[in-house]
Amino acid sequence: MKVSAKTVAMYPTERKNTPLKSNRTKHNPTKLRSSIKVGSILILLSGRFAGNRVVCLGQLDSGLLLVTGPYKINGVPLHRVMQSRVQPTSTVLPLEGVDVSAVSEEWFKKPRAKAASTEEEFMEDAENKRVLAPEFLSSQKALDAFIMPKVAAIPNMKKYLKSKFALTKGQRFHEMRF
Amino acid sequence: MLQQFEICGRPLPSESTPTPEIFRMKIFAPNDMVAKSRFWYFMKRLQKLKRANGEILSVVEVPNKAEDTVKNYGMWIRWRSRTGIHNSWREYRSNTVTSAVEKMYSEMAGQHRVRWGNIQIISVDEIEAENIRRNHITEVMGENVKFPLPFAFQHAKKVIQTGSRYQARRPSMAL
Amino acid sequence: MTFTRFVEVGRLVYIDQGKFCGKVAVIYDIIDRNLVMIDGPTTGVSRSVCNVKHIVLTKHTVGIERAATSKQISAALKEEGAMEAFTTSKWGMKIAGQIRRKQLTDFERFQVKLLKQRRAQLLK
Repeated sequence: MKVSAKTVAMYPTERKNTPLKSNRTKHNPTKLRSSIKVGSILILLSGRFAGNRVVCLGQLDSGLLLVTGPYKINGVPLHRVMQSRVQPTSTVLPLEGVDVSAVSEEWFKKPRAKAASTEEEFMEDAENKRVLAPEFLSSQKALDAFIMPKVAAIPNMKKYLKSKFALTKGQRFHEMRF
Repeated sequence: MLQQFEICGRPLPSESTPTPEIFRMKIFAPNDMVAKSRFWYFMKRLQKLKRANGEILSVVEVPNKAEDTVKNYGMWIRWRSRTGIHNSWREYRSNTVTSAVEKMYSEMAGQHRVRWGNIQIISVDEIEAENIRRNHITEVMGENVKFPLPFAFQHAKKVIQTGSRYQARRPSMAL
Repeated sequence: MTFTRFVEVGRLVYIDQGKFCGKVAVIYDIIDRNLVMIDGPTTGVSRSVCNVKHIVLTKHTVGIERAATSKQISAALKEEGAMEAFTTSKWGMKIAGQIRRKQLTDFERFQVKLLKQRRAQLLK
């Protein structure tokens, strides 16, 4: 029998575990929806603040949107939201020159919860208690201070941001313009 | 939706008749398959010609352009009822010839319970106003034709579209 | 009660179903008891067949001949001001209002709400 050069006489008894070649060679950054701009008023659709109208401050590196109530007006703090969980409106506040460079995504990350082993630990829950970073508070204050005069310049805007969005009888979401 | 087809066919050429006579027929049918089938159906009755000893030369769909002018169409039809075979003259107003033929089929179905296959269209022609015989056509033909819509459920329609399906008050039909 | 609005050549109609729903057109020919030809050269309604069940008759008419062309219809509409007469009528204004209401943005809807509240307060 003629043995070709390619034929291997001995096969390895164990297969080497090599990771499959991934197709995900590059990370595609999240595209910002064309309806969302810096200063856009958004309606939050899910979460604790669902129904609240908030101001968009821009997109963070993770692709999430940075929004604020502002906290002073409607109690919605500076936080991150997924852009698919908001309904953008066509109303835009003139927020040219807003500086969000001080904002760190680390502030918003939840520390991983450690399971409490005893009752006391659970009640105290010292480790899981979130402490707000002082930089977070100062930058929230600074951003609120930047936005407040812009809101005050538009009549009824403050009341608008304070109010919650809700559907009333006869209103059909898909037929409405925002 | 009906289409109008123009079909040409002939007997298969033989040694005795190398160039047989060609027959052309206009047929209203939903598609070309049905049109070809109707062509053979009529050829069997009109000529001594069937599919086994004939061939179809061309099937051309006559473009059905929606005109913006209304025309009067008169058509002779032959139809088979439960008791016998009848010829009748029917008139329709339409902007396309196919929709006039469609009207004829639905009217025949409604008036005489005749099915599609039992109707043979003999001719469909555009006719002049003075040649119209049927009253339902002449009554909308005159100069100052007007009629009210006495049963226009306009308000009721609005309510059904937008609001409740049931109303406490009977809808007004007057305009 | 006598009828005052008729299906006739030159009648302005409001279309409330179908492709041209919400538009106003003119009847330029009558096909039969159920079908008419309509045209709205100034309102974007193409010359087409329309069922009388899909239209509502307005009180306005224009003087056109049967089978009038689009040009003749738009000239007649312009000359007689029939379309303006409709749009400035109570019904026309109401339709315009409904369209405007539908186009309101979220902020505008909120402002309307405030104004409504204000009106209610004043009425009290």
